[in-house]
Amino acid sequence: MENDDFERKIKTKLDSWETEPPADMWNRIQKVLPAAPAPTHPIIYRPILWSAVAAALTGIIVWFSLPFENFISDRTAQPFTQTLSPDIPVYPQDEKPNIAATEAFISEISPTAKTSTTIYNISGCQNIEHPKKAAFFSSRENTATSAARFTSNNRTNNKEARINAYSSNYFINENTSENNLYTDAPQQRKHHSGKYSIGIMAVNPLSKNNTTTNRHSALSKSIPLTSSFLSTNNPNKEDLKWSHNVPLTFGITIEKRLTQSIGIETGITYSFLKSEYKNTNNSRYGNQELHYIGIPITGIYRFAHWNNFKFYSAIGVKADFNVAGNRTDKVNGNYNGFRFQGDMEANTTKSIRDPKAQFSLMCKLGAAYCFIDHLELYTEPGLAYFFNNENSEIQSIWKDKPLNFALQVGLRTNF
Amino acid sequence: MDEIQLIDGCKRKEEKFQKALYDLYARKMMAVCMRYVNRREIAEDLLQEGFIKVFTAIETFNFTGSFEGWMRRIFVNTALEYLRKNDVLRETVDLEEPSVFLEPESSVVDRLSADELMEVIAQLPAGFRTVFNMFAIEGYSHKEIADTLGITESTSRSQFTRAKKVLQKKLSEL
Repeated sequence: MENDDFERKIKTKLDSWETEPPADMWNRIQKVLPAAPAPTHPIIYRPILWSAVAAALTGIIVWFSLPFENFISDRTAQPFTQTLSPDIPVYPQDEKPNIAATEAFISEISPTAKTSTTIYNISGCQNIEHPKKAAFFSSRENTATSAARFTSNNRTNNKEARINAYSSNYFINENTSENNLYTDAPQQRKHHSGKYSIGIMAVNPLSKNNTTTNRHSALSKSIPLTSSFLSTNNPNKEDLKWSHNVPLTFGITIEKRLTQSIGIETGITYSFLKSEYKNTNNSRYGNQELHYIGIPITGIYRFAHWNNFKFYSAIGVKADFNVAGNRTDKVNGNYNGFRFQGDMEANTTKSIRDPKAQFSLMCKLGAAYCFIDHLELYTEPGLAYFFNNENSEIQSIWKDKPLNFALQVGLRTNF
Repeated sequence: MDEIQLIDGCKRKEEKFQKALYDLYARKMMAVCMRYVNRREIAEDLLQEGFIKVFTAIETFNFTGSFEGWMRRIFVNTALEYLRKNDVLRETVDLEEPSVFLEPESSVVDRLSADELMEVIAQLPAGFRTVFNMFAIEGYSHKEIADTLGITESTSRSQFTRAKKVLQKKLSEL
């Protein structure tokens, strides 16, 4: 009892005891404290970003897959009648067509054709900006020129076949929608074989999960667990053992062929990097997820062609932009300087983002197998080197293991 | 400004709230540091270190339990970390038991001011002082002390008993 009283009295006296800290202490603390993070706008920022990416992708796909410019220029350069079979006569532009006669002629030679079929000539669209509009608005008064010519030129033995082929390409039913009008025209589908390629791809690094120990890790630096005092006595910052999962990358590529053997390729890729870390006694651990959007620019040289196989080499650069990321940091009751009651664990999740672009250099060897006309499957084993992003506080496999072997596979179409 | 506003402001890393928190607790936490180390300049470094940890880790405080208790534990652990890193605890845990044994005399404590009592405690060997502070003042159990200092539970009990005897001896000599 006396013992308990002795301890209680000491505790009471010391509990209420206070002493004045040095006057400049607050200034010393303030100098070391991390600055307040700049306000972020994730709610606005992310939707805008992803919308922009989606719009860019859609725009790129539409632009390259629908050759509007080629359509217009083809029309300008090549009058409609010149694309026909040589035995279809060409009439002067100012000759008035006889539409009624034309319809009668079509009925005669093709009983299945509807009498309401109207002939459209899309040859006069060169001064109209949009090809669809051109085709649509140039129809009724100026059209039927060529078709009408058949009415007075019933001289060929295979005229039905020719007219059927002709009408299937250029004669559009009145009920046909504007879209069908556009898509039915064969010259709009004129392929510039070998000029462009669009592909989808995925990359899988050939290395296994990577583990590194980082004595002066960026994470240690970002959380000032040691002050000038402890830094003096313990210069080593906290050791963190990082384990990086294999990154996942996929995207689309677009290639423009400059010559038969040389091309330049770009595109857009998405990469997902995941890492885990822990300290030496497992009292602090966590994980990190990073999302990157990348833009590669690659030069391609095709050096061999055998049956349906093509072989090529490629060298290029890539810029990866860290668009989002988060890090979950956990400490438990055994962690230095922190002590929680029982088995309580504290964790913090914060958004992280590297404002700097991650540049890399890559070289690849490729083999493509053309299994369907205009469609080929390809594989590209290669080597990529990721440049050290100086002063970056982001720890990633690209930083810890800058040289990577990777296998890229994909599918591409030529047009 | 209540404590919740103060903590929330510190979580947002706003300087005026951090300064207010410092002003509120600096004297108390300086006293905590002084109890564990007997040199004022080291205690000042520990105070600085402790506040940096508090402002860094305050995001993890989820309002379960007393905030002052949470802060105090950070400062105690900061002091223990210093003692461990400088091998102060290892040097002193094996000290021999004092040859003179005195019966506890609580009335002596009544006569002394807190400053005088602190002076006496500061004279204790670091290992004794640490165990005594943790058990008698902070309210740690011997198991917690053993886990924290890396010693056995029985060693903690024995250290505390011997610390108390040394302290009583010193107090009786005043």
